[in-house]
Amino acid sequence: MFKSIFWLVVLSTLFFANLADASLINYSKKELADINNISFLNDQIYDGKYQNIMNMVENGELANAKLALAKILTLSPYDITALDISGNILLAEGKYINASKAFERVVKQNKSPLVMAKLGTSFLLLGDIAQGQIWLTQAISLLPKNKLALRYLAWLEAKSNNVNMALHYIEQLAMMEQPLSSFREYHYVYLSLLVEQKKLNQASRFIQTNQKALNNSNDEITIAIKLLEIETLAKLAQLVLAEQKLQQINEKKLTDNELKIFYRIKIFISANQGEFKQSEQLIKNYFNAASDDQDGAYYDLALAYFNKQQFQPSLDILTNLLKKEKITGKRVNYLSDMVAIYVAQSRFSDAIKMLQQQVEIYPESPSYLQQLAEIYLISGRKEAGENTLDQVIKRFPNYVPSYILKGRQLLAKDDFTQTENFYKQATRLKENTPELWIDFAKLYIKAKQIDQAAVVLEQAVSLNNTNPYLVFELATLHDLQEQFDKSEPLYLQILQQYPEYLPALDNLATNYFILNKSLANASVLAKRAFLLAPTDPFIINLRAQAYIFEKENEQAIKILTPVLTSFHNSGLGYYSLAKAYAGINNKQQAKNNLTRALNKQLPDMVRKSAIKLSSTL
Amino acid sequence: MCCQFIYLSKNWLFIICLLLSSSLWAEEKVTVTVKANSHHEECFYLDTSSQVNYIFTADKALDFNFHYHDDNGMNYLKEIIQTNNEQNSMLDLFPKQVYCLMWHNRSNTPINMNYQFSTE
Repeated sequence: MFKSIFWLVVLSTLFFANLADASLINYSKKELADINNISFLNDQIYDGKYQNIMNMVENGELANAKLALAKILTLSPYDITALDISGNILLAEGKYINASKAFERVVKQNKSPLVMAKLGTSFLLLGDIAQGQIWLTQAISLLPKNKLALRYLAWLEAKSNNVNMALHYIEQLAMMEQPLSSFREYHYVYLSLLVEQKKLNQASRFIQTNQKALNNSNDEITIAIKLLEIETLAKLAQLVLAEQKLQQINEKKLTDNELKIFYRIKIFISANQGEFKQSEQLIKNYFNAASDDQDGAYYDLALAYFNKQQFQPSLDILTNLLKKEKITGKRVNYLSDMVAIYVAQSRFSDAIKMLQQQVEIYPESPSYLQQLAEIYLISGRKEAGENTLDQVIKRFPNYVPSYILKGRQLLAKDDFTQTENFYKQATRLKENTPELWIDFAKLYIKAKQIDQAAVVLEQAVSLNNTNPYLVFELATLHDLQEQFDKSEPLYLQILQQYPEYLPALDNLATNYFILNKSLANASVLAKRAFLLAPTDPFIINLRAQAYIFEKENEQAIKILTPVLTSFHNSGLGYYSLAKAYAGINNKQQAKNNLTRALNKQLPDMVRKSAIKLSSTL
Repeated sequence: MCCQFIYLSKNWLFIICLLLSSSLWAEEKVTVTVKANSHHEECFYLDTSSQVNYIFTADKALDFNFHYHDDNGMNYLKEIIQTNNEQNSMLDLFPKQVYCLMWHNRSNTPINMNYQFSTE
């Protein structure tokens, strides 16, 4: 069961976490508004004369298609199929306003989720994100396997930097057909996102399963997928295989952009094989000085040095990159990496000097001063750290991270009154910062004042009622107090807003099963959770309970048995297994598993149920 | 160098050094608390220098060492068991190397400590 995100690490140092995650490949988004792509994704089948017109559209005979449509619409101005197809043409021509009007007229007469998806798509392409999202969400709720809606919802989430949700939508789309007959643009996007999210084994498996489809895919997609496959292998440390596959690619046939990716991968492989000199030579030979690609390749080299514990050359590269970099975000990332390298070597004094220089050069930027405060604290220079942190708060009163850090410093000190005063003031000043509220509640939990913690979180929720993290924290706090009647509406509130919020799905389904209440709803939630996290043992346990509820005990046994060891000290897996065996009247197996469950940790209410079950066997 | 000194009693020597240190040590004076049964380490990269000067004083005794890392692991250039203070200059060090000052608090209570170091 997921629990609260309380007890966050006070100071976390990321090692190359900022830039290294991105895939080497930047995928093209040009196909998104391509009519062939939209038609393919839309899955719409038209009758007779309409299909003939669509064929004209797909063959690029737009003038003929328009003529044929004009004839139909002159005779029947409310012919919704003709309107729909005219919307398709307008979409293809980039006339998104007119396209949206056409689709709107269709949707008024016929609530087709396929047309709704196109309407949503038109709005998105017009830049009306809110309307686009409404129609796409409606389309998907009526037809969950709506390819066009899934593709554009993924696009929307990616644009909002919500990579997890983008991946969630595109994964559903990518998995609709397995094995694939050919790779398409969205498979490529799916794989790029997997690489970006470091789900390298998953990406590798997907490509492996669909190797044959590469022969039937267009050239651009084929080479892009092949390069992604090599990148994935290289990042999985299968350097020899990656190198072999790279050698099979004919450089002469690559476009300029593909060639850049080719050399980025070649340099990545060479650097990670420890061929540092060769890598540097490749960078100099193949990339223009001060180009983004050269910087990216040098960054990969710095990371390879770091991974081989060659810290100084790694630092030298990052120092050069930092000197040249003008974009603040990238500068801060390089600095964070450098600080991480210094910290890895306990070179606190060097890190402090570097950050002091940055503070002097960029006195108006709070992030450098904040980093300086953090390094003082990490290195045990408590007084200097606290003074610098106070300085950040004084000079940059709108800079939220300093309040969070200051609060956590105070929390660690165990001075209840001072910490309470700080949080009262900080939450008044920064009432929209969930971390401050959560940490404030943590203060009361630490002092065993659970009711007061709930008051704080209730206040936080009243001020930020659409923030799922705060609502979730309050719900888990109620769970902690076994006030399930209070947590239930909160979980439901989160799920209304974010139907895919896994921790809420998990906790609410778990509560229902434990309380033996609303089991039909619990089953629905468990199934949704299982779709999102099919390998998590506790989610598998939820899915198993749904099977048990639906009297599919054999299925429950089948999915639970292989993951029993993953529950470690928890007896929940064995308990569900016992219930499943009891369900098929295999009393001996039920008893055995119940004994194992009772010998392990179980929540009190579950233990009582287990003992009760034991008495019936 | 921080201070040249003649041998007086150990405590006198320490006081003289501390008095001199305020003017001679241009580097940061670091104040830390070494947690019980824990250690504190401060490392630095010698680029072209070959000498490190250091001084520290603690409110209780702890173990101290000066070391560097290479492919063979940790190499100790100086080790002192249970001391409250120490001042020294390490000479003829190899450049292009990271060197570390390290303190171990083997007691069950925290120890407050000040230190400074410089390179030449």
